[in-house]
Amino acid sequence: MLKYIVKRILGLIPVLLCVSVVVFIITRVIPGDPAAVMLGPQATNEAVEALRQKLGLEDPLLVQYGRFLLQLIKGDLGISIAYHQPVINLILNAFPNTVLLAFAALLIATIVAVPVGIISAVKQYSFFDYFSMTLALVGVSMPVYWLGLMLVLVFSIKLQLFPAIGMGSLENGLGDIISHLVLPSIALSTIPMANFARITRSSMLEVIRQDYIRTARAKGLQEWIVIGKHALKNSMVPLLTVMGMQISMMLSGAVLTETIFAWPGMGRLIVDAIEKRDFMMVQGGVMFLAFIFVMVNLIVDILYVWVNPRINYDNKGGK
Amino acid sequence: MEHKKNKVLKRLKKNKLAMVGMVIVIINVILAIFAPLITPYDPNEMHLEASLLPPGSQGHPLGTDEFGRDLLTRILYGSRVSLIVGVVSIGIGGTIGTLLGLIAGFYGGKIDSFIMRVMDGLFAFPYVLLAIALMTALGAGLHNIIIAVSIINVPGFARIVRGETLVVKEQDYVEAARALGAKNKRLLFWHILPNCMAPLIVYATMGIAGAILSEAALSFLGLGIKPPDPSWGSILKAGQEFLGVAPHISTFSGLAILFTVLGFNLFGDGLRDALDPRLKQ
Repeated sequence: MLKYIVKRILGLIPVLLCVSVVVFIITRVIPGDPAAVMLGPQATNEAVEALRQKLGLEDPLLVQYGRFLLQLIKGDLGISIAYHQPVINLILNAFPNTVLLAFAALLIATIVAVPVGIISAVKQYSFFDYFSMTLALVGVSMPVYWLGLMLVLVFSIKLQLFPAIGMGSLENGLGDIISHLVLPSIALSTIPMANFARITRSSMLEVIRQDYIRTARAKGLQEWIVIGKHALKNSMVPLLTVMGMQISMMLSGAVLTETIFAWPGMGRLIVDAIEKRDFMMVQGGVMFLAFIFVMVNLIVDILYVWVNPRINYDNKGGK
Repeated sequence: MEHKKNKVLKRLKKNKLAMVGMVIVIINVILAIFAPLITPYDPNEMHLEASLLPPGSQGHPLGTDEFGRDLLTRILYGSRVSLIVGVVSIGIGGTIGTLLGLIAGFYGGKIDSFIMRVMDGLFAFPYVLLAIALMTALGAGLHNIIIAVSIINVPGFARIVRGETLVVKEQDYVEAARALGAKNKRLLFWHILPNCMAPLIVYATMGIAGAILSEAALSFLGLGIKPPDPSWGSILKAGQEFLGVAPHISTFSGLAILFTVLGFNLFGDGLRDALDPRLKQ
């Protein structure tokens, strides 16, 4: 197990290097001269040229990449062209907002999906089972940006229950933040909710067919104790694994959700940076999110091996 | 082999939801192909005097947009973009990913490590973010969307096929073929690949749904199909501005995305159950 963990952590080095190459290449081929964007339309050619020199944009790409990598190792993501602030500061301001949104969405998804999955499994092939699983499939197919707009239409424009955009402010009380959080977190929770319900149902079905559940029933235990105490605990393992994966996927969903609801998180920060041709911000933001993504996946992989010791991840090669 | 195929088809036909999915997909394809015969309007033709007409208006069953363009026509033509991006990008990304997965799984060792580290590198991006970054670099347009969506789909196929190859290459019939003198190329494409097809077909079907969602997301963010050409994502985006006065624009374009994606997902789900009934629970 320890060998596997060490191997996986060492394996992260080439992955992160690969990520840094992809990010570097993509940000260098984004159309538009960052120096010209930084100085604005009134800037003279000489001034743009001087800034290009200062930013090192005239150096060979390999030199630029080497410098980028060294800065990354030091945790320096450069200065945002649009905001004239260190990129890391902007990220540290926005990232907690994305975490808050993702956490709220995860909470909603779990609270709704786990009971639905359990009931569906216990009442397999009932109307509830068919209805909820069809609904889950609709949920998986739902474009999150469309659901976001529909929520705004119904709950903000028609019913005027919740604000449509922004995050609110703590100065106006916690209630202000929560009311701004409701619609985006519901939108973001849909796909994980559908996935959780499906996985809870299938793993519950597997568990309730096991001998120890039959034994528990034979002992005369009440059904809710059999399900709630014996079956639920063991059926949660696959759910926890999927949950880890969904946290990563939520970062993708957050990009779109934050754009619709003008939620000041990482997704919105990066989309704004792309529009403003702020390549330092794009580079740093994408690199940071990819790093988080890789770390979450690593933890999920380790958890997966930990709960499934029979899995052998070694591939010694073909013959 | 024929017997197995018949069994799969029989199981698939029995699955009502899968059949519903298949019907949705077929209707979509027919509507996309015959769009010019179904609607008399040009998708980009403006009639400013008839802007933002509600659904059910004379000659415009789904209403019109802010430029007086018939919404049904734009949604029908938009389905062409979605289906083309879905099918072509999964075709390209799937082929590249499958080849890489086969090579990685079969040869193992350093080749496997190198290919899979690169795939992990691509997998390390939240897919929407990678697509956004690629589109920003490549520029808007149908061809570039296909390239971007193909790239984001390569790692998924590579992982699936590698996993399958690892299992299949240890089977007795592969050993037997090797003992009979079959070369690696023959082993890969005649013995291993055909036996990896079941999960591959399911993944590809679901992948088309994902690709359609990705295209719509990119167009929604203004990075995909550029106006005035119709795409479900760009129609949805345009409707966002008029959500209060003309909600039908966003509603119907979003429903079109939802039903199409649902169709592919239902069919893919049914296909998975039919190919491997043990998975059905």
